[in-house]
Amino acid sequence: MSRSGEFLEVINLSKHFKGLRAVDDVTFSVGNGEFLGIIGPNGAGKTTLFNLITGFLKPTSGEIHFVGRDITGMKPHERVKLGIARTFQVTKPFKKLTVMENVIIAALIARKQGKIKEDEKNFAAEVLEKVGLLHRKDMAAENLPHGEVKKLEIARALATKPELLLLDEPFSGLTGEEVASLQEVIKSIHEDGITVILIEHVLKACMALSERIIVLNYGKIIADGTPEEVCMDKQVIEAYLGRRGLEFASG
Amino acid sequence: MRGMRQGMGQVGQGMGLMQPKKFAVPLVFVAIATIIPFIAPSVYLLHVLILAHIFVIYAASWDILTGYTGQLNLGHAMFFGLSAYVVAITNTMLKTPLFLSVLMGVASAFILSVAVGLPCLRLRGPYLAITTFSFSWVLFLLASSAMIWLSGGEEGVRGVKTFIVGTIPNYYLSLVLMLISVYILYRIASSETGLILKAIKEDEDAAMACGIDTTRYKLLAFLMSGTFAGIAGAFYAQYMRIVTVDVVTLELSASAIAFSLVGGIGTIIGPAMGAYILTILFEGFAWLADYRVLIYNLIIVSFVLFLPGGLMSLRDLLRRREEEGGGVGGA
Amino acid sequence: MIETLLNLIVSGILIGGLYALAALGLTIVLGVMRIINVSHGAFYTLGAYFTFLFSVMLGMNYIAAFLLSVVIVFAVGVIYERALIKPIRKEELNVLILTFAAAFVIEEIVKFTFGPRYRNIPPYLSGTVTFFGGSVDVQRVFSFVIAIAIVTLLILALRFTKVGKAMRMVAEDEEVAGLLGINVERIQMVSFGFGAVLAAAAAALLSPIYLLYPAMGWDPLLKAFAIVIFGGMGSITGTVLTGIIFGVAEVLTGYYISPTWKTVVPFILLILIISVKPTGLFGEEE
Repeated sequence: MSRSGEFLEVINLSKHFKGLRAVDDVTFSVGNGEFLGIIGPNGAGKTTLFNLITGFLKPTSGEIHFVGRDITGMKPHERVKLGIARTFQVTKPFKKLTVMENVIIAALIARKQGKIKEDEKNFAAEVLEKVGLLHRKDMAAENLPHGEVKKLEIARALATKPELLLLDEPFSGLTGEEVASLQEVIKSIHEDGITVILIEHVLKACMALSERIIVLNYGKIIADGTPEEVCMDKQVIEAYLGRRGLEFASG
Repeated sequence: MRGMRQGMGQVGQGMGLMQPKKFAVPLVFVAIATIIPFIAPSVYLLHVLILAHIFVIYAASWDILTGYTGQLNLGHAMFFGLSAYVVAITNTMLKTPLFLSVLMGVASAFILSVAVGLPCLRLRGPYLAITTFSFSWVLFLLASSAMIWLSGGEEGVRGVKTFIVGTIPNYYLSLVLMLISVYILYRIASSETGLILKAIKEDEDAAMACGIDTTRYKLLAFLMSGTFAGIAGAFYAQYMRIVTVDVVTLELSASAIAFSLVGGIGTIIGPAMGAYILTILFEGFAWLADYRVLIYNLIIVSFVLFLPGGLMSLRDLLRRREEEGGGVGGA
Repeated sequence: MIETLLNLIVSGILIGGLYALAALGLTIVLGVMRIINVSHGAFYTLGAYFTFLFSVMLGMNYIAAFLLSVVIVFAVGVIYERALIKPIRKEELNVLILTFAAAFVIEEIVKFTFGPRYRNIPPYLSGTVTFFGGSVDVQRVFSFVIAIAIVTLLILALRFTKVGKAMRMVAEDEEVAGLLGINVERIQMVSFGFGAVLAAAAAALLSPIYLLYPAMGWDPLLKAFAIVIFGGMGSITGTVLTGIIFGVAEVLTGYYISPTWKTVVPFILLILIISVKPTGLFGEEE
């Protein structure tokens, strides 16, 4: 399990909610520059896992290490400072602010931490260019169409100058065309050397992008391998086809 | 410090396009405010304006916490009132020199803002509102009944010293204090810090995901808000020379909201304007005094329902209409 | 000594039951609509003054005055919800601000209508009952019994009636309730009315015991907040028990420490609890 495990290591991580084991003794590691996909049925614990890695939730037990440091007790903003950025499944733009301001805020913090040397406005503009939102820079975020809000989320995460980027269902609710365009964006982010972990419910895009895939079910890892390997796995097929429609809160 | 100044400058430019126009309004205001004692030397008018200046600071200080940072404070009078009481009590009972009393008053508001702010850092939405409300209610109960031996209740604490005797000197003093306070709050609000506070108001989780230490900034907003309200309260105590339970009432807390809604929440200038307009209106027409609480609160209800952005939003609307042909400027 | 203590505890329980009643109104509105109604205390004030109007000023029978007040406050609550809450319900900050201000508006209207001075409704029951050697007014016992009856009815109604079930469903998940064909907005309006009614009922039952004045609603409002937060959101038993604990604590403080401190203590406790353990109170981690 420890292939180049020094970048991100998740060790025996568990999170229980009132007896429900949302994440149950999960161990895996991610190498620098890797593209990891995490899939699993609704309620498998994917978002909970993200919240644990980014510090939005505290684990019941277990540890998280990033570049050799134990970050288990760190607050979300401290992890951002170390280079872990995320997007949200339910998008959270700063609605009343412009697209530009949304990104500037993240860039501002990155500048204060010395991660970027240039003016944060120029940097924000570059990031917007990268995700293809520069033409919308003066629009209030609340007026953006859904597909572009997804891009804004990614732009804001990129503006923190991350080394590790966690994307929580970036394709959900997008049209086929939007999926294709966003897929390109994410691919080029990875090509810039950023390690990406992608949660996806829509399997197609995830399979296309990821080098390796982890499958979660009931909070446990049931498969870990290349997209091809995972597709052939019996347990995975059962989890997806046999027991579809498990109904606890979306995870 | 230099970095901060630079940052402020940049944002200022971004807002700019029409620099001369931007300075025109404040300059005209300052000019008129300066000559008022000469053209209208009515003691009563000046008294009303002094109160207005005090409430401008009070309203703007509410705005930095609630309007900018989104942390709803339903008990803002506690900062104003505590400071006023501390000034009055130390000055009259302990006979401390006035300037020291004022320092202690402002310091007490600062300390209270830490005491309220710390638990509030972990609370969101209604729980935060209830907590601020409870704090101010405790203070009100103490002043109005449980600790009446100290507060004097309705009778109040009398005989507070004043920095300068006379309405005109106090008028200028209040004017300067108000201008400085509003200027500082406005500059902070339009700086990088202000942008970060706005982000926290819009979405706290997203702000954290941007790397913002939301705890630190929320506490900062509490401190600024409480301290400036304390400054207003301290000035009030030395000017009125008497402090009664009025300074910690729920009604006074509600008026911070009324001032801000009329002018426009989250703009600093709007709440300042609102405080001016409403104070002059109600102190100016004595017969309105009985209906003040009713009308203030009717105003709040109507503005929330029909013009939640306040008067400032009307101005923005006009400006946007003007600019529609000329394209959007800025960054 | 022991007798006094028992007496105090019994009268604390009786008062506490009525606080719990008022707090339940707040809980229901919070549960079904996810808003904190800062005007809740104003409905309490209205309940007391309507009872005063009908029983003292118009000389009606007390029971009739009580029922009529409750019905009128229900109507006021429903209109209030439609006119003021519905247009802005999703904007949390604005709802809090608006209900705060509307409470003052109601208070001022009461003040202009009935005057600012204290009023009282004479007890309509006299005599005392003895408990374990201590004694309490029949009036208090009666009010308490009615309050408990109302709470019991409420629990039954939530469990077994159509509206009650719909309310619970909306509280559980608005969207799903809507999909199941429940008229969510209507249920919310009705719940708001019920919330107001519980405040008004508590006030009407307390009015022969306490004095009436226009600003009388703030204290029970803040107590209701405290009880709701202590007692755990949405738990009826928790709310009733906490209400009773509050009543007892208040009466004991009033007797053994000082009457002026009795109103302060609950809030100091509230502030302490909230500072120490805010997450435990609403436990929504995800």
